[in-house]
Amino acid sequence: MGRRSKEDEPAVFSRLEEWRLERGLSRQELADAVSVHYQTIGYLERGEYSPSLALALQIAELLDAPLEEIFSLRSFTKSRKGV
Amino acid sequence: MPHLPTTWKERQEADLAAKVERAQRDQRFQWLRSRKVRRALVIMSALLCVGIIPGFAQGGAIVGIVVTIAAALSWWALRISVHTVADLPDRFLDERQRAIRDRAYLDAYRIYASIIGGLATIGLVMFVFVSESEAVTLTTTWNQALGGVLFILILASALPSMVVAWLDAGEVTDHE
Repeated sequence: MGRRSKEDEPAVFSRLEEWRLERGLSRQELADAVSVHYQTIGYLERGEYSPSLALALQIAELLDAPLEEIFSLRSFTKSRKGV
Repeated sequence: MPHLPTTWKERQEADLAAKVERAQRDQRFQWLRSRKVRRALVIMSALLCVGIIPGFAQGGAIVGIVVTIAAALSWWALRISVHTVADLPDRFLDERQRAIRDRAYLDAYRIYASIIGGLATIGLVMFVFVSESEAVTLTTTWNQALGGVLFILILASALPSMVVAWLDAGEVTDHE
């Protein structure tokens, strides 16, 4: 069986921005807390980059939120406030 | 209490880390970091690199040096535009930056090998068609040789940053 090409990798959907704003953090503050560049947080929020498991877990722990509420392989149908 | 650098090597490392930190957090040249400007810089750098050869060969030393300086400045702007990601070792980059840098070096190697290999092949094919004997004597001026060498050097140095700038989407500010 061949390896999965990059194009075939499943998209990771993100609700990171919502959680970050709820916790009152700027991108830079969140980036500093998990030791990444602030642009990487922007990429994660736009769903243009899929984080490693370690980074995803670090973010979830920092935001004190369940991992699957921040990142998911299925599209989030509505925001956490139900809007 | 934090460990203060004591040896020359530690001080050098601390200086480098401080410089990298400034480059990574730099917000002064944010206008250079939109997708459009990055791609325009890549095209300009490529044209200036290619222009080094005719600059020296046709225009002479002064024109050649001016084009070379312009190409170097364009490369410098590209490095600022991508926060010098293409030129940094692993310990200064996060996982996304490492991934894009690694991809850029792979692409840059392929592009570079294609350009240099392609030019060499074209040269050989032309020689086969043009030459009437198997012996060949190449004559070149200093300007032509210098143009060729500078083109090869600057292209090799700038290509990774060019590829990063082309691949990387435009940046967002912290307040967007």
